[in-house]
Amino acid sequence: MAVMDRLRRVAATAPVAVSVALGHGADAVLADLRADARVDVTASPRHATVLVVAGHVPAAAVAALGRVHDQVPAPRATVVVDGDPARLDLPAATATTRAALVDELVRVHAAVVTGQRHDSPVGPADNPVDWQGIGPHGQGGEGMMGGVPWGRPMAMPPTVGRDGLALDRLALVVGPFLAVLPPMLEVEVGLQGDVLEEVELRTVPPDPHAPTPPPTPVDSGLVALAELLALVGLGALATTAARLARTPDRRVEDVAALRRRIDRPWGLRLGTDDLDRLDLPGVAPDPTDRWRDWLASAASTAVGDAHHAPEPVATDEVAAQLVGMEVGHAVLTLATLRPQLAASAVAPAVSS
Amino acid sequence: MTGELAAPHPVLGAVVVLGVLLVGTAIVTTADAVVADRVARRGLDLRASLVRPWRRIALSLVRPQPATERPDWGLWVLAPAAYVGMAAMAVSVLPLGTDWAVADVRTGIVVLGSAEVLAMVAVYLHGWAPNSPLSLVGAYRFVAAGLSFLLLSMFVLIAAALPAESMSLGRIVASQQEGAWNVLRQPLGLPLFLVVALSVSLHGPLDMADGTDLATGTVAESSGPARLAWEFGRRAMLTAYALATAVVFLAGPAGPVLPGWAWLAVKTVAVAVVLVWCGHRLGRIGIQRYVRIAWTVLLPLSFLHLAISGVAALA
Repeated sequence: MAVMDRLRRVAATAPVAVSVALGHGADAVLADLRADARVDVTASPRHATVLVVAGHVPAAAVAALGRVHDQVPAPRATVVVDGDPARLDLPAATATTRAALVDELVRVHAAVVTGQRHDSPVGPADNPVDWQGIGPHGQGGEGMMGGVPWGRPMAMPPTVGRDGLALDRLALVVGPFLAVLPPMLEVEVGLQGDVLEEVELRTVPPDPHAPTPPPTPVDSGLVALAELLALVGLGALATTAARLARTPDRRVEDVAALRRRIDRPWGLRLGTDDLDRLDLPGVAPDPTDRWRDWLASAASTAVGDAHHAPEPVATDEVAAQLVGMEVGHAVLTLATLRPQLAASAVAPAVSS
Repeated sequence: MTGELAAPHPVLGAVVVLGVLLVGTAIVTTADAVVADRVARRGLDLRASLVRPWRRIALSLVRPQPATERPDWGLWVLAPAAYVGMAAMAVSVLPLGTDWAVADVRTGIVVLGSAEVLAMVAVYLHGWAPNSPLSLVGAYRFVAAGLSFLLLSMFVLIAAALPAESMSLGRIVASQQEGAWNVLRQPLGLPLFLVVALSVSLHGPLDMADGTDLATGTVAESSGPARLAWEFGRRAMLTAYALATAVVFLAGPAGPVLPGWAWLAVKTVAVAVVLVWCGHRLGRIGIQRYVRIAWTVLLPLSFLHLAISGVAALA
């Protein structure tokens, strides 16, 4: 026990492993967390000790937030930034402000690790839908296929796929809090292997009477760039981009320096140069050009030019272009559309 | 050095292999933290860089592993063990000093190649076991990558065996001492083998199974000691392949003044730091692009490399 106590005391001083559930208008909080060495932003809630809820979470997304909450392994804690935990059905959560967030996280993390704090699950302990499979592995009643165990369809290939192989088809819905997707985006896909056969995108709009958020104090393009860098495994460079995003008087030289470090064939372009080109109104077709636009915009605002808000894109048109992509390509493509999708969530675009 | 290596008692050998993997993993973990802070330009707080990863390890040790929906617990536990086992198998056939290895088998490069193939199985099972979609997609992706880099590895290792006229890794080191190091006489081999090292150890631009774009893929559902075991496996595998790179291309323990094991350690750490640095500066390549480049560029290059090495060996 003495060893475990000692281990817990050391663990309490580790960077806070944080899963971030992003609502609308939470870029500033995300940039704060990415930029701070006392925090590790995790890609999966399973790796976190603390769930941070930031931005406006619409009522329609509260149930999904509860599921993410319960995916953080117990003991866990939740911190809500500039919001009301009760409205989010997270009564045990701590409310704090953006300015006090990281200090609060350090305190809450230490309490969780040393056994002084544990937020109870908000959902049922077992699966809410009864097991409906038949047989020892729940595979249903038709050989290896068939049946709808736990209410989800089994993998059944409707067509022969990309390689002439009839791989099991997998239907799943992810979001609106999946860390690898832009905030408030829900994606319904039919997967064959790692290829998207069917795609439907839905943004969760703000509640009708939600207060209008104040103008974001960070550069949303650079926040999007930080998330893109994290998605291609360049977490350290993502820290640099996030730090730059939250610097109010950033210099154009600093933006240029960041560009020199990432805009090279073996840098970020190794991950984005080969993504499919898109044919969407108001969007650069080339995926690399899209994040270059963010850097150009950050450079121009650094010299005093006005910031141009991104135009929304029609989610059904984006979805149509994702069909046939490999999962990782689709995730990166959506990441390069983060500002446009954020705009669409607030003011949906009409298909052209 | 004749290439004939002495072997210790099997129990001592097992202790040595475990020691090499533990020390190597500690060095890789430390190097990763220091390089990450350098790249992030977090300032010059070296102590913070050195301490932070050990605190993360302590955190992992006190966190639980939650259950997913109907996981295959047996495979979930066995997969990291199998992956570490493959790293250990690779280390066991590599010369660890001037005249000794844990197991000096005459077909050392075949054992090295087998470790890669079986590592592919371990990674796939690690993605399969949690019964979770993104973990499974990571596993699919690694199989596609594995089929691409395994042939590459085979041709590079066979080319290294040609001048030695033996598949023994001890003999390959001896032939580099008698002639030139393979990094000089087979210059294509080193970069091609580094591609294999990054791929099989799931690191940097070639981390196909555990990419952040899949919410960390096969490890997305793992937490606590289970996650720590997998991360240990990845770094142990990186250690094993950095060691293999040092042996096959940099003449392993050969060098003046210092004892053989010290030269081997210096070269291995240098290769490991290069691999870690790649992970922080090179973006992850898309799987389709990786497979295309592997089959249309890297594999023909490895054929060419083999042909040139064969002609050079005959000359």
